[in-house]
Amino acid sequence: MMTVALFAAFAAVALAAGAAAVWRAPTWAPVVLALALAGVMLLYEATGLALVTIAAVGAAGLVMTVARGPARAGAPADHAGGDAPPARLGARRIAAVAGAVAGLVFVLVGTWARQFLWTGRELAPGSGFGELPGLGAALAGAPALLGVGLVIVVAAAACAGPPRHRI
Amino acid sequence: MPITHVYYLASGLWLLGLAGVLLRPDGWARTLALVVMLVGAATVLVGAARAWAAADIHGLAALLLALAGAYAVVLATLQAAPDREGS
Repeated sequence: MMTVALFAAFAAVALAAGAAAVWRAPTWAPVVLALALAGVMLLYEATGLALVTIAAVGAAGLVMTVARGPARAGAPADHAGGDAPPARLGARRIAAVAGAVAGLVFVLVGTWARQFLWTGRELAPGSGFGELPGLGAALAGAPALLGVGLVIVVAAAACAGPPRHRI
Repeated sequence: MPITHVYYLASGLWLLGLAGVLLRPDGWARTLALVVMLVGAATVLVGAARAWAAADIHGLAALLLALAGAYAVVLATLQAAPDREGS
């Protein structure tokens, strides 16, 4: 019961951070999201992934904060038009997106409920699954995965230079 | 912990991100929404790994999280604030 309450708290924080990221696009949202998801992953016995989440998403959030500048941290996103007022969303577009999202909710939740809710899959009590050695073994046994990860890191390092100034 | 809980959380994050991608007009907000979508997908893998007791899925989830982080950093750099002096 305590675990479920902890999960509910972490999930509420994660969803609130996700909603904030979508609604106002503040730079702190990825960091809060990473911390809350790390808590969820700890509850699901994915210790290594909790570390990866904080390192990857949290660090990306910090970099985004720096890229945006300290004066604008937490401020709503600028619009591409500069001084032009932001375009308002039409009711038709909002309705179309809401319909698509509602359909996806129905499909995703329905599918997962059928697959997992009634089968009742659970790990055996005392299982050591998901701890850091398991993640290390999984990565060590997948050289292609490590190669792709290396390419991503190198590409990110190559692209994440100082911002180009327009002349 | 029931496996389904994490699926509901993941679907919520993914759908939030999708709504942001479809509704927000500016690139910065869309970048954040795409990161939320990727993180939601990685959360699905966390639940799947526990459900099927397959540690390999953790490797895939780690790759996806690293991809989300790198993606956010690259796009944030490319969409840095424009220099208003010359425009």
